[in-house]
Amino acid sequence: MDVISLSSIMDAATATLQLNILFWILIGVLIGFVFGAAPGLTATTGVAIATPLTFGVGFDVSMALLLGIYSAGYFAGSIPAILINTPGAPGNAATALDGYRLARMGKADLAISLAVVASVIGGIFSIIILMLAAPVLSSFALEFTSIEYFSLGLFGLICVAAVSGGSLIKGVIGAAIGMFLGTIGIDDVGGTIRFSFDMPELQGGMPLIPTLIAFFAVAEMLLQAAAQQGPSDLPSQQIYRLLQLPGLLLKHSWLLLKSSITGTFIGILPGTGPTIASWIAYGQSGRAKAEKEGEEVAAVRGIIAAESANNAVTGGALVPLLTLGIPGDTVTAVLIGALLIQGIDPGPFFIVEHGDLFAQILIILLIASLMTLILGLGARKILPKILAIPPRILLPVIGVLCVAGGFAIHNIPFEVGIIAVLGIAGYTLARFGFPMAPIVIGLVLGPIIEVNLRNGLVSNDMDVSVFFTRPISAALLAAIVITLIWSLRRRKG
Amino acid sequence: MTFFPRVMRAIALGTCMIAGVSAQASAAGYPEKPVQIIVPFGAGDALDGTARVIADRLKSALGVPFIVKNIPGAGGGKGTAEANKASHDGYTLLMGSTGALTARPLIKDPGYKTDDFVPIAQLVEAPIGLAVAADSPYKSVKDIVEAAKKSPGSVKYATPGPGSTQHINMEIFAKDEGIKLTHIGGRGGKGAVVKAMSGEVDFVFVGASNYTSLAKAGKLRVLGVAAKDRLPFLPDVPTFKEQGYDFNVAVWFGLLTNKGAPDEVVEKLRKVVAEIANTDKTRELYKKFNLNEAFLDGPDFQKEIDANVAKHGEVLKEIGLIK
Repeated sequence: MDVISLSSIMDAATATLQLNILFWILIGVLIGFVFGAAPGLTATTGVAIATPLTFGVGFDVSMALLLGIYSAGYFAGSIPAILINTPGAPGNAATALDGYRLARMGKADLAISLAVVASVIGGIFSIIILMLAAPVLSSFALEFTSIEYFSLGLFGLICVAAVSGGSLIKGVIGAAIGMFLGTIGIDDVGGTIRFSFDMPELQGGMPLIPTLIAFFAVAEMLLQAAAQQGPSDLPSQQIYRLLQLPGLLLKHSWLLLKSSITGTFIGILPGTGPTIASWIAYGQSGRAKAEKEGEEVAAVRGIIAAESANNAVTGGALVPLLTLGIPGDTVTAVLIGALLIQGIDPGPFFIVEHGDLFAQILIILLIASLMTLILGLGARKILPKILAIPPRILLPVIGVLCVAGGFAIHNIPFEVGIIAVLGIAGYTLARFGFPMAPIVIGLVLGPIIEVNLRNGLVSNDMDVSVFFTRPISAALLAAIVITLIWSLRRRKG
Repeated sequence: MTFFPRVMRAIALGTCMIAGVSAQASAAGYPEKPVQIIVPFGAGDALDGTARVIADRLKSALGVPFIVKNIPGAGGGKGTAEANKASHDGYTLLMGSTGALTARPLIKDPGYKTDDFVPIAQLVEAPIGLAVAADSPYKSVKDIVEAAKKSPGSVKYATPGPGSTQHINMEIFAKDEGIKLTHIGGRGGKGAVVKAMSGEVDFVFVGASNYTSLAKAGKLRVLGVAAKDRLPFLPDVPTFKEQGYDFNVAVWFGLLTNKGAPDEVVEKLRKVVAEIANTDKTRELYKKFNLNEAFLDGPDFQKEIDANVAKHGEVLKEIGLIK
């Protein structure tokens, strides 16, 4: 089935390639950079704040601004993740692991270059999928019931446990701590309130972004402060020659494709988003095996996987939105309002009746990706200079940034308190050699696993066998077994 | 040792005096600075849409920015609790909705009580409808009731979540009809729709705006709307009443402020919001969001809130959410 004709793409390109539209895309991309990079602010917040500004303008300007924010916002969080171990948004947490490692090795330039290019390739890949196959793929979203979501959640958890370095036991304990944090608040199945310790603030659950800031940024800040490491202990930053990048990407082209596919498909699934996509892609990156070839090769694989996957979510999440009216992630949920105000009810009729507008969305996304590429590569030389700042100045600044970020989310002081408490807990755990990633992934995936396990059982009369008889679920469970065996064998070897 | 408490007391006294002065000053010339509207659900939600429509119109009418702030979580409880903590001067408004205001506080203390807010006006209702997947064997509400009678608990349905207005009311319906249904939360309205389309549940009971375009495309079949009249955007769908069931569910959205806000401020807001709500411009914006205009002034809105609290208390006990 022909989704969209070449002539309508050409028409849309002419309509979009106008100075004022390009201007608004650029503004959107710039806002996306700020909202993506600032901890506590996300692409979702950026799009939500910008939406009322679009009430009085036409479809093209509205989409130029909002999709610009969307496209750049999912990438920009990788910059602070790489430089100061503070993911700007939850979707960039996986990037922090290897990006920050490279930055400490004096290769922040390489890390940022990789993140930019992998993001843009992932994003463009997902736009192409959206263009070619949106109606076909929307039925994929409807194949996923609680059973499949449970198996997918478990698969994600096992993937991360398998790649997180160090002791397997400590990784598992970390994941358990994260899953416990995920049980706090209103239970999505029974409606009862758990572990809120009579603090009303906790009834909404453990907020993800403050937790992320605590376990990544604050814990690392305290570790460094305790180590009293001077700037001379860090190797000086090397300039990465961009001409080498195509060769490097070509070497990992299969990984790039695999992670982009993963990101796009996770994006299509409602209720997921860049965080889950990047962790699963990271888990499947084969970086553990690549450790043999050196730390740098492994880190390169980790960054490529995480960043191409999280930006591939953009095109993927638009698939159910534009074909069913059901958002694939949180940003597309906000976009519904922006489309309604334009008089467009996104749903099964959208592509059929508004093929021209659909084509325009594709072109805007493409231009936004290219702008992200240029701006991102432009910034890569300046930003690593941050690392030359002595820790006695840089660390307090990061501390202020963490508090400001924690407060910026909802202006709730309690959430800043959470950062302090969990930050100290994270530091203590890190001192005992616990990896931070499994804790965060436990918090993200724990509720998905629990709620869907219970819902899946309730809707199938408590019959456990459905998890093995439904094909997608069975395939995911088989993948879990293979990953576990492979991981245990590698650890023995 | 006595120094510290004394300083604290002085600071506290000073703060109170400044606050008192500013509260007096603000009552006369309200609003003198930006006003925040707290929406206890995420951006993009129908409640959020209503707030943004009203914020846009209030800004034009009163000349200061009305800033919408989304604080989602705990079924609306988290944002409502934050609104309750704000200073009681009329510079914080709450976009209240049925569940967060009249059900959550009955289940467990969420940081506010049902009577912590003064109503300014009820604005709209989001009509709720019952829909099934296109290939479902059920053709009417009666089919579902009979299937549930034949085999209690075998018919499953989805709502945005446990304890939501949709969930509570469907349980009221089940009780009235003497049937037993199995509930599954969809983690949001759209999530509940997906559960019906993927075949995980037999029907979905959420705001009709969640699936209007799906229904028009024939991907979902709406069997009944729980409203007094048929909906303008789903004119072929009969009401529950037409099918012999006296069942009306309204999820209402309205504007409130903290109890203790100066009377003049409350009166001024009531007057301005009533004027705004009664314009074509506002109606046009509501229509775009598939919202039903349902204006009630402050005192009538209070009666509606009280009636909901009484009704929800009974049902929540029966379905085990109040012990």
